[in-house]
Amino acid sequence: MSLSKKKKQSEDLQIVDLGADTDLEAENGEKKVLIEFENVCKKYSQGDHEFYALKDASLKICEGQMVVILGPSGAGKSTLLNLLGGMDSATSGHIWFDGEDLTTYTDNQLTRYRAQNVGVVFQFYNLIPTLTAYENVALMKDIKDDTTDPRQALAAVGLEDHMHQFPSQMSGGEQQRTSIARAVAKNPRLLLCDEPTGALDTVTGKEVLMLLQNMSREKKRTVVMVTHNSFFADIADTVIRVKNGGIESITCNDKPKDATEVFW
Amino acid sequence: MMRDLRKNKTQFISIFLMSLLGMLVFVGLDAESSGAAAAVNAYYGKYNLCDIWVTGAGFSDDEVRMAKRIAGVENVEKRLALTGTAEKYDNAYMYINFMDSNDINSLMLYDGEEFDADEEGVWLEEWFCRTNNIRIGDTFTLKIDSTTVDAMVKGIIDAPDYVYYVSEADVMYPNYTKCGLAFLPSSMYPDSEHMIYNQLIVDVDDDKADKNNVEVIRAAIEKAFDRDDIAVTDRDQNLSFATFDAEVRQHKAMGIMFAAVFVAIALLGIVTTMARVTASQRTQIGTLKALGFSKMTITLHYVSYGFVISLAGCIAGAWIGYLTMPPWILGMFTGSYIVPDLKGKITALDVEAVALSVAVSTFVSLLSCRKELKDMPAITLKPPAPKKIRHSALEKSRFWLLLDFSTQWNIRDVLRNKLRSLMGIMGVIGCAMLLICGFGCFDSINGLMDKMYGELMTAKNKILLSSDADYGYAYDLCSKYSGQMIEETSVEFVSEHAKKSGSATIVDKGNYIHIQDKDQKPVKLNKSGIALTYKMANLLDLKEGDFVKWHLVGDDKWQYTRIAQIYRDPSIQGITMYRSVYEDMEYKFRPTSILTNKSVPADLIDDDEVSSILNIEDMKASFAETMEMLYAMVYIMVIAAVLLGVVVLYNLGVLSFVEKTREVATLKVLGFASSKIRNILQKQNIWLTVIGIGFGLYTGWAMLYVICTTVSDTLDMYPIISIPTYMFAIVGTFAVSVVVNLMFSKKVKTIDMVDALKGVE
Repeated sequence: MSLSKKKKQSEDLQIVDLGADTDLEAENGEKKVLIEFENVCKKYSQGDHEFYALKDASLKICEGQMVVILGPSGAGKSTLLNLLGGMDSATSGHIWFDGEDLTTYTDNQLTRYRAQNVGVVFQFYNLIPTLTAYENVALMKDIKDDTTDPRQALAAVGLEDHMHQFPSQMSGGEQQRTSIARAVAKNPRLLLCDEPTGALDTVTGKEVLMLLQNMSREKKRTVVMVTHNSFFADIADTVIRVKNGGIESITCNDKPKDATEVFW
Repeated sequence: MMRDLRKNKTQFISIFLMSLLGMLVFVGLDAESSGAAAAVNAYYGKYNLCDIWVTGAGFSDDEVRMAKRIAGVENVEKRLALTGTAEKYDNAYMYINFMDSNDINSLMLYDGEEFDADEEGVWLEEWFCRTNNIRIGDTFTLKIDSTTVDAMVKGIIDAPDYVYYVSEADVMYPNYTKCGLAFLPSSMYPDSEHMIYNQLIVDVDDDKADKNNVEVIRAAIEKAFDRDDIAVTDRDQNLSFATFDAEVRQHKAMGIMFAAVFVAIALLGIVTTMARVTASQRTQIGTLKALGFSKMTITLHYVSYGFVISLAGCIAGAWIGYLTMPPWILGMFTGSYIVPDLKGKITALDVEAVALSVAVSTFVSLLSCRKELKDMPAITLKPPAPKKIRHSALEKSRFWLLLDFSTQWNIRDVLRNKLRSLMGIMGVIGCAMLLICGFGCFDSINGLMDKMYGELMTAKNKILLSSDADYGYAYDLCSKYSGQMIEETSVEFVSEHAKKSGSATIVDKGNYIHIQDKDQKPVKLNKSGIALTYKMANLLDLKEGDFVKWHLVGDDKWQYTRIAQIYRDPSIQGITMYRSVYEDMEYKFRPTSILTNKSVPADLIDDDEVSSILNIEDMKASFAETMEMLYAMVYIMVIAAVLLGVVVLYNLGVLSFVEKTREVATLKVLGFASSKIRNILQKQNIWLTVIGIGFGLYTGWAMLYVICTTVSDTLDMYPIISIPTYMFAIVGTFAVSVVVNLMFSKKVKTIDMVDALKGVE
């Protein structure tokens, strides 16, 4: 008990340092760091065989940025996303979210973290099939207090006419937009997207992409998108390339393209 | 295939268990009842049970010859059937038959020598001898009215026409230690010069012994004799034959009922499980098809699940049922029925039931997986088209918007999975129904006892008089304890429709015997006529104002009396009348017991005239003993209820849980706490349970009603379900349901959220 307390204190100290650091950056015109990975490892073991899905990954994500995590399948980008979203636990290292270490969280704390801070957009939408679009979004009221009115959230993604349709009655693009509405309705500080256009055709995919970019540019949300499509790198503020479980490179785009300009 | 079985092991286990339970109960009860029927038929056949009884005041040799000449009659024997007592053996009640030959209703010999009309001696019933320690060569004294007959025990026997018999009217349950059979040659009759045979037993040619022929012959005998004072009856009207027959039938019906419930649930399980298994392996099926496997091969593969599982379950169930149920239930027959070689027997019906059950299961699994198989491979390879969904009327109402998410979600989920929900409700209904019915049986028996010893008979003590007691003794004793004298005796009733045994209660002045009308309201006994019980009136198809034909057992005089009143009695079926009415019919009032509220000293038993002193608790206890068989049924029901509930609900739970894995994982990612998700799942379960319990309470009552009204000829039980029973059934069912739900909803915690992010497999 005392040991863990001590540990916590030392972490607090670090946070202070970090805070000073980010403040400094903010003064320099930089944005505040929302998330920082510090030598994060994720190890899977099957019997004797073990392998690292993520090895010594360190990165920083600033608030309000549009971040694209790029890499071929199996590179560890999904693992990265899961760790970001508090859906999985790291084997070693630290994950700082707004000064708090997620790796020390209990299950319940992680659940609260997800409920309060994270919105997720899935590749296959993952809407509740027995609920209408409206109800799928309204769901968020059950877990967070300051949610956007579902009507507004759906209107924001251009679905005001489809509010009372079931997922099965909507097209893929419409479902994905519902999913985005659901994710943003709870006003998360972090919006995670796992191949959000993966199951969509180019035109609808682009619509979705625009929506996500707007979330970041206009609503100042932090958007992290995982994809294997390198064309998407152009629209991001920051591009994190992942390869073989490690961070290959982190590059910043000074002038990210508009989603409308991207072709694939 | 083994891998699939392991993956879906809970569902397959539950199908297996349901098939097993269904067949266990069915084959168990069928083997038991078939075995009992086979044993008794072999017994009847080997010892030549008569087909027709003719009873009357007396039969001449001419009449015997006349009966023998009737077409189809093989043989006729005459008997003098009396009752008496064996004083030395606690005044045991004895059925006594004097006869001069024994080719019909032959005695089955255990020890000693075969019956011979030319010998002197007595042949006694085996159970009676065993429990009273009577041996070959002993001298046995019978008391018939005022005379006694001494005879040496020549043989220890059983008789096919006495498979079931009871002594005094108030003992409904046989006690073969206190009620025996004695067979003697006619020459042993004390006044053999003036001996009058009062019974003819008629054996019909074996090749004409079917029901219709026997009825024709019975009518022919009736016509040939043309006498008002006789009764010609067949086996169905014979107490011994009919009681055993009814018992066997009841067990068979019970077996079919239980089996139907279990097999139906097994089928529901197969439908849902197979549909799920094939749906989840849609891609695999598509691949196999695309690779060129014929539809036949793939179909066979999936259908074989249903086949193998149900076959294994049915055979295991049949085997266990055959091994366990017959010995258990037939064990309880001992003491109720005297039939040699009772053992279980597998019949063609059992094999057919197994075959049918497996066939239906296989067919159902064929139907369930056909959906995935009939499409072209290209279509099967794609993910399934989403289920169609419509807004129900409820959702259009304003009310819908007031519901919270979990309620909306659960309502839709139930509506979209009607079959699964139905199965859950059925399981709960079954569970609640069996619990209500089972515990209702206890309530009804208790209610019946409270009525018998509290409303209808209000004395605290009952002094049973022996046959030594003369009227003077009884009268003095009665005055001393301010009691009420009653006579209880056996009666045979005959109407156009049936012949039944019952009892007569003759009451003297006093206030300890009460009667109730058919709506169970207290009424006064008619002062100038006889009152017949409601159940007996129904059995005889008579109503108030009709005439009933009856005679006292042991007395040949037939009475033809108008029914002045119908009353209802739960345990004793027959007639009740005042002493004055009885004496008007020129019978002598002979008190058999005295009812009193005063305490009776224990040493009164030392008087020769007193056979026993019972207080009200003794009477209740001995009555409860007679309900052993019913209690056994209750145990089966309660065990079945819990098993049924657990297996069905667990299967349902796993099923719905597996289907919802993805949704649950999504909810977790979105930030729903596990406990919250569990509450949502539990909510649906609670609704279905509540609905199921509602129906279950009603069906349970209906089942209890059927059991109460058909349980036996002598019992007229009123279905009673007490508040605690309702509470227990409701709480019990709920507990089963909630506990089972908790067992699998624990798994919510273990669901891996990462799965939700992956694509549809």
